[in-house]
Amino acid sequence: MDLMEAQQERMSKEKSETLERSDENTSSINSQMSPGDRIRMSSLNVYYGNSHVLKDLNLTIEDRKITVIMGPSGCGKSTLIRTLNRMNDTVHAFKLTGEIALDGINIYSKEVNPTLLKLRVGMVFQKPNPFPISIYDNVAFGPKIHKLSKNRAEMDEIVMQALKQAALWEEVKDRLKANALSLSGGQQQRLCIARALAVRPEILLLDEPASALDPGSTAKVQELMVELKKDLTLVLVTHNMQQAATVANKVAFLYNGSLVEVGQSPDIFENPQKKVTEDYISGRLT
Amino acid sequence: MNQSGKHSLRVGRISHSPTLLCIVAITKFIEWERFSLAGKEPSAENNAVVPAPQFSARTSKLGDRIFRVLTLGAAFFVVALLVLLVYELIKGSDLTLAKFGVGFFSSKTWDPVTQIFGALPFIWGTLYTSVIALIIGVPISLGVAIFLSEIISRTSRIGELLSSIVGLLAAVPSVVFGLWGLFVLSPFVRDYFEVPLHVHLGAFPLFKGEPFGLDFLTAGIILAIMIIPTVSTISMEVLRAVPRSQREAMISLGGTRWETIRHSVLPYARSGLFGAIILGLGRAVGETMAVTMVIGNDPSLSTSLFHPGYTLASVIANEFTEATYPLYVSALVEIGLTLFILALIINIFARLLIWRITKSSRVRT
Repeated sequence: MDLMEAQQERMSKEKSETLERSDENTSSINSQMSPGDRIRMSSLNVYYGNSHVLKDLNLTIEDRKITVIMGPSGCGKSTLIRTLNRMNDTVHAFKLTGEIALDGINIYSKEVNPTLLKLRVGMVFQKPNPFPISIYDNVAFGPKIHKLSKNRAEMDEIVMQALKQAALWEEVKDRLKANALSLSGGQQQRLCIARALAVRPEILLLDEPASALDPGSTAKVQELMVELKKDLTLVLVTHNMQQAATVANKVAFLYNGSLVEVGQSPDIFENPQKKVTEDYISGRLT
Repeated sequence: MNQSGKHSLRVGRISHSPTLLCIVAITKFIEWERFSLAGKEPSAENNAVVPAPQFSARTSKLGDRIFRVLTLGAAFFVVALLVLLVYELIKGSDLTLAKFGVGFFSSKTWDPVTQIFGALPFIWGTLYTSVIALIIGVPISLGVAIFLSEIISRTSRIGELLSSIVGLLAAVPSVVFGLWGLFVLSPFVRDYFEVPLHVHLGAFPLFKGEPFGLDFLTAGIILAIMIIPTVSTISMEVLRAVPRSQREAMISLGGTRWETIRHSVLPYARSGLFGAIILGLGRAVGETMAVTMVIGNDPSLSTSLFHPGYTLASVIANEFTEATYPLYVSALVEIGLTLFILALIINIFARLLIWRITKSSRVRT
């Protein structure tokens, strides 16, 4: 709850309305959740037009842990992670049934403002997508549009903190005014992480954040994720088994839109209960 | 006989120099193409290995060669056409060039009776009406483009209908716009905009003078309408080309739709949008018929929106049939040359600006 209150303080008054309303409901629904759970998906179904992409999913995301969603291409991993902060809302013919509760509040209910939801649930994408402006401005972007800082000094502090958190500060502190696109791919991706962190989300969604990076940068991003786990809840989609095994606390294996197996790491890698999971882990399934 | 022989010799000599130019151009083109095919910039090393540019070995198949020659010919033809056109423009205006020199561009007198010709009022009229057209037309065009590319779904019926209507606007012949401007728009603008503005704000130089309806403002409005299809269609394509990842970055930061458009889509697309606007300006500068019909055709340097004016294009269209002596014809051809130079300057300026924008915003892609 600390985090939520802190969050509310940062919000401008008129914007915090929806969250306050959510707050009242929290106590009643919270009782159904185990204390460490932040997100609970129940009977989640997602359709794009006629195609049934996610089938009756039940999954919980634990606080300050890394939950890895893995599975072969086209199994619905990205769709799943994108439903967690309503990035799919604008997708044509997107339809969702069931419930996704964040701290007990259904994020698809009418009371929740999808824009404010994204302040609490940040996202980093597969391909680094910095804005074609300076490094500083990239990080300051979120805080600026949400008016999270009162003055320049405060903004400088936010930017520095976010860059430090994303392990990029040392590399860019002397050239904050340089264009973000002058950074290497790995740096760009960490910049995108810093940009997402700057609005101080509680949950960070990472959709294959290292798949477009070289091995060195990948290792850095992985270290970073483990580091971030101290303060944030992370959900990671990845193709990379080794990466999953390195960082995961909990692993969910998704196949053809259904959740096949959920387990703690490294159990699921050592003793998969289902044949299909074993096939995937051993590389017989792609 | 002697005369004609001299003439043909002259033509021969002149056409020789464009030929040379074109050969140089082709050589350069081949050189450039070879290197870009190999994915490399011409470097000292490459030059050392291949001393003289030549057709590379792997295009030795006959079909390839024919295709190459045909396309090269087409490209070359356009270059040659332009060179010849400029040459003709300069040759055609030799009388006024000799008589008035550079003063032609800065003189404000255009008097066929006393045989004094200056292009300044027409340059002014062209720029003035074009700027009015941009001020009115660009916001509307961008609005249309943003609506079509960002607000409504690409597949929706309304979107398709609207974009085809915008396309239809481009298909309306210029003279039809002129007629409509003359009989409908001009009185309307005079009664509902110009008269009230003149009555209340007549003290400003912009609104000075008795409004007649056939003036810079009406011409500018007609031009604005005529550039909307160009600017909005191209802007829409430019906006649609903005990568989804840029929008998603903004949305994932909790940006609203408007914030996404304003901070993410528009900045990313700005060099393309600028290009669209310049194409619109190009159209406005060269537009002839509709403007001629509503601008009042009076060579003036007035800053008042309500003063009749004249543009480069419309003076050519209007007075070519009246040009009864060689100096007059020469003056009109030089007006054409001026129009060409003006378009060239706008293009160069635009390219420089786009280049600067691109350089500052896309260091690495």
